[in-house]
Amino acid sequence: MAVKIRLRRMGQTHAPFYRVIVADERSPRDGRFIDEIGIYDPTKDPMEFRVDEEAAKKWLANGAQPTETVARLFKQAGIQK
Amino acid sequence: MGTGNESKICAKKADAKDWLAEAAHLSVYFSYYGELLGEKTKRIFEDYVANDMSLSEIAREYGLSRQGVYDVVKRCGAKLYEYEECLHLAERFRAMEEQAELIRSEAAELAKELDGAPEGERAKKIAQSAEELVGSLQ
Repeated sequence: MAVKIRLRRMGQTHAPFYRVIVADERSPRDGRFIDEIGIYDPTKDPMEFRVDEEAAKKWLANGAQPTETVARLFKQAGIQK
Repeated sequence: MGTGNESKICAKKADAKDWLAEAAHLSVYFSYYGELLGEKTKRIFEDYVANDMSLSEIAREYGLSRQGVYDVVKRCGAKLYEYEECLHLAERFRAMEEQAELIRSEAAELAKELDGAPEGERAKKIAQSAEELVGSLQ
């Protein structure tokens, strides 16, 4: 079972806000997730990206695949395996 | 057929710096105009922007080619920009929200200043209404 780290949109209509979640790759939109490790708010200036670094590293080390967007956010935040 | 807005759409997550900023815009526009897209294209676009799925994942899911999904995403993005250019709903709402917040904070300050004065009660009522207005916009 492949595990992915991806964003999930929350927030109000006009104010997108994302959670960084760890989920089975086969359940991108059924709402189920294994872990929630951070938030991403693009409406703030500068954008806000807060993530539990320990948890992120743990999931990456265990083979979880970040999506392209999350990988770039991790890179900007200096989070690597 | 192109809409002229397609050149504006980056639609590539690999180009993340632009994509992140663009996804924020598209996500808002989608909230306003998403219902105007076709049922299937709406779902594809939502998967790409709100559910953070990759083109390949979506292609697999819908039995389409990756290029086909990319075309849908790009076309939808262009349409959303076009709707916003015509209707300005997102822009107007944002401006309204800013104005309401300004009124709320001014009214709250005025109510505090006039506390105990003859006009104090009226100022308090206005501040309360402004508070409710901001709350209703959220």
